[in-house]
Amino acid sequence: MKPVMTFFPETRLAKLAARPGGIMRDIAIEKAKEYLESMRGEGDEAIRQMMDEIEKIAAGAQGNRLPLARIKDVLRLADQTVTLAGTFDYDPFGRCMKSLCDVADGLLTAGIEDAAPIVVHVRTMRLVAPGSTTLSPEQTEVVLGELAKILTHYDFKSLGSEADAQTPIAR
Amino acid sequence: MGQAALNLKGVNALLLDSDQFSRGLIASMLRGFGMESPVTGQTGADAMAYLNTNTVDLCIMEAMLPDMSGAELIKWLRRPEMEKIRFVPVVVLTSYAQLRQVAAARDGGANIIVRKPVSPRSLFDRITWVARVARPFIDAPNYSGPDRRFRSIDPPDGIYKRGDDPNRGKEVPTQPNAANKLVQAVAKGAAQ
Repeated sequence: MKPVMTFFPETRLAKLAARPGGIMRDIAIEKAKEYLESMRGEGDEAIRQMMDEIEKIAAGAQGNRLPLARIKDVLRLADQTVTLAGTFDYDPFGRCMKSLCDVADGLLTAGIEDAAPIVVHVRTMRLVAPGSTTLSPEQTEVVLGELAKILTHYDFKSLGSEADAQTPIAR
Repeated sequence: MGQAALNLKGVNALLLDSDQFSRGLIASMLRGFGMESPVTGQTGADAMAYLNTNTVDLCIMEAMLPDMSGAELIKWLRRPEMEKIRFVPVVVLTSYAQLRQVAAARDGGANIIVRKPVSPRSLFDRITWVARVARPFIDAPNYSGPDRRFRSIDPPDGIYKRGDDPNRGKEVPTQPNAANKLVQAVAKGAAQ
């Protein structure tokens, strides 16, 4: 049997990072924030394209049936929009897309090809999308609260709460 | 965390993410930190092809790539045959739908796992941490990677506590802990 060995490597990253010079933490973070902010326009466009794709998939449902392969595509796209929504601080939109991820993941896990919960999320997505002024903050809370009921109806668990309960993770 | 300088100039990073725009976001943050543009890829196969003939100083990857999991790629990277790069620090990024991959990435040999969306503060502090806090590398029959038993010292700030922790789900305030004290001590020494 292979013996257990312990190494104490000094990585090249450690050596390079410890050199004199470099950038102070606050300056580095501010610079990175500026770069990110300069990408907001592109980010909004990427979100719009992903929403269009999700909408197109939902529109392809026949009756109340959406194939699991298409639900998988919805999950992938919704997951990417969650990241972008978080990056650019679109909170209600991000919550809507997290809920869509939860529902899509639940449907995939259970092997259910229902289109209705996806379609409801797609309509809500447009209402809370970046730049949309359709809903007041109070109305937004009500609508997002209604989305949570879909999860309860199917008895699906939120991906976030499930993972948090299992493993500690950096944020 | 202290106001230490971090010199990332000349650091060769490999950035793997299935989404082009997400790659651009992380790459722009790295440029803000003073790093040159990282080598980017979309799949595990891209990474393997690159790493077979090149070395990197830092690897930042998604927990789930289109053709394999991040854990599988890290295990491949940590093999004794990869002598030149098997100790390379690996930062794994998990999107919302990839959170179940956290345990697999840790057990695959990741140095640290960060939840997306990644803020500049979070990414900078984690890179600082992997660069400055030396961890033994364990090579065992079922695991090759950084020592996972670093709970013997406190985790760095911003790491979720256990499920029954009352602070779970809240913004964890910055408090001195053993890991940060170590980072600060090292940083102070480096700055002097």
